[in-house]
Amino acid sequence: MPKSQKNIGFSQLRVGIFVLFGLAVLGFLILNSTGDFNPFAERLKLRARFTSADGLREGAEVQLAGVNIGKVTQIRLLPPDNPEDAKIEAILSVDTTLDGKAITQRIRTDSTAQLIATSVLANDKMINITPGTPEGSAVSTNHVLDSSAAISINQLTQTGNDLLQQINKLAVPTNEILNKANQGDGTLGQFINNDDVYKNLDATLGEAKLSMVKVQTLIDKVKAGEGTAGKLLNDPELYNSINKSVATLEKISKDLQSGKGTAGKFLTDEALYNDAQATIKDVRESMKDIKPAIKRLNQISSDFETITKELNEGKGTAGKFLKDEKLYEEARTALTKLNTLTTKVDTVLNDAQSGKGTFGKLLTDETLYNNLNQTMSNVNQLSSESTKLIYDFRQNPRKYLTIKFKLF
Amino acid sequence: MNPLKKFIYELQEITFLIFYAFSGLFSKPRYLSESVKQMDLIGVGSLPIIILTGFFTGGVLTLQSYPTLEYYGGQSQTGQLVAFTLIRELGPVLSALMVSGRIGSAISAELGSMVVSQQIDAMRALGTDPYKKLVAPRIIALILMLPLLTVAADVFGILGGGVVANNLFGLDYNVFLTSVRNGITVEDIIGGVIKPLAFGLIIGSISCYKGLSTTGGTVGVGRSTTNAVVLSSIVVIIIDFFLSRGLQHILDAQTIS
Repeated sequence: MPKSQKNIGFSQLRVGIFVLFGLAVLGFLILNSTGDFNPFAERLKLRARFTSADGLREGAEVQLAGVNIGKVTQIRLLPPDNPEDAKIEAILSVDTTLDGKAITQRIRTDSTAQLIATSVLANDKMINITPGTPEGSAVSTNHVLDSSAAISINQLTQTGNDLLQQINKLAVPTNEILNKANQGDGTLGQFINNDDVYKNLDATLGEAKLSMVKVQTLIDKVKAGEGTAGKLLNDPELYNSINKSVATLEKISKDLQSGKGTAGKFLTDEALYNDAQATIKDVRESMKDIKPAIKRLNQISSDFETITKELNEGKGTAGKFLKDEKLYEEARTALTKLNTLTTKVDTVLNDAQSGKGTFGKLLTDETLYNNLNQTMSNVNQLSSESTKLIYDFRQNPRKYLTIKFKLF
Repeated sequence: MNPLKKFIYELQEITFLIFYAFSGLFSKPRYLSESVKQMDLIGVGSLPIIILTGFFTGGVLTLQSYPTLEYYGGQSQTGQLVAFTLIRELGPVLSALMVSGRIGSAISAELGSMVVSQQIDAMRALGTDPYKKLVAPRIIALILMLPLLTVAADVFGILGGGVVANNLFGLDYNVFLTSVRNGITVEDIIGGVIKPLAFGLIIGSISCYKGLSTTGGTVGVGRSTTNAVVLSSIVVIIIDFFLSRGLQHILDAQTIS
């Protein structure tokens, strides 16, 4: 420990200066290594323009595909006569190198700057630069990046709200329809609630199944050669018969051609023709005789005409018969009476048939017949007995003609 | 002497003091019993105020943060917040400030009165190195005890937070403890223990220097005591910032930036 503090030069404070310097360097290194403070690093200045800062603050992070590469150093409003839509300009200060490669290899002229939210809840924004493609060229200082505002939570909720309203609108009629359907109104309701359709369908299907089974059996039968159709398809008999018939017909026509039999003769023999010619000649001759006969017939017919005229006028008995209505009326009543009579007879006969009354019994009841039969057989027996008796009487008249007197 | 020269001069003197104190450890005699005595005085003696400070700090943390967390529906995370804050920051810093108030002032006053009453000169005359005999045991005791006191502050702070959360807000102890366990990583605890090592060195060296450089009789003792407490507190807080940033980076636990 120095004895006097009064006159100390800097030469005597070398250790103190060294420690101070060392501590300062240590502090600087701590901050520098954590990236908070780096006054010597070269920075690349870029610009990005947006319609609204919308929560972007000076000092906000600038990311390249999500990796922190710098900060927003300044946000300023563009002049009011700026023709673009963009109203603000953010000046970004980014590292010139990243992982030993120039940042311009990653940020190209086709990179875009997006304004994105740092969290779901907060409205704080940061800038995300999308990596460029080799097609773009390297950016230079004060390059204005193309910008696109990523969808913010506010816009998202707005969109969601619109969607919900639309769904709500849609939900009301849907609800009505479903309610109606539930209550069984309308086609849909009936279709859903009423099981008639199902039953009908089921029944139809069942019938269809039955029909199919029947058709199947029919086909099976046909295949097996049962029935007419089966025979038609399977049995060669019909074909054979037809074949035979055709053969027969062929034979007949051959016979006809060769003049065999009556028809053949008819077709081929000229004798018939000659006979016929002779007959026609005879007929012509007889026709000559017929002419006077026709004249007489004419006369007769004129006589008939006169008779019919007279009849029409109601002359004579036959005329009366034709013209007088009284006769007709009488005939009609007679017929009616006859009708009633027949009806009655019919009833009587019906009754008789059903066994009513004596006549009926007579017709239908077998008892009388049986009795009669019995009686007849009895009579028969009686007659044979009596024959025997008479025969016996003749043979042995004594047997019967013996008279015994007994006097006690 | 201008202030810059004075600052550099003091920095140089403190550096020498630390150098002498630690270089003395490599040669006999070693005053081990003196170190143990100082540990008892500094560590065990400071335990009651550290426990009280930690307990009520944890309690007030819960008290203030719970309504905000409840607003976001995150009241079950109260334990995590309290434990995180205490272990990373408030435990070390508050312990260091309390110890600098209680022990820094005591060291400075003790050594200052020894200087004023020329006991230091007498020790030197008798062949005893005052750095070895007086400074080294105190700095060693502070460096060893402050982390332990910090751990005590952390534990009782979390306990206090749990008590407040349970009794005032009806949060179950299990919920609180589960969120504490979920929220704390090994890096947090390592960072929370490295800091008090540095703080112990700062408090011990500044207090010893201020005590040994006392001039001007009993008035000078009072002045150097005040200076010791104020300077060590300020340096603790300044160094805490750089340490936190460095540790965050080194331990790769940048959850709070």
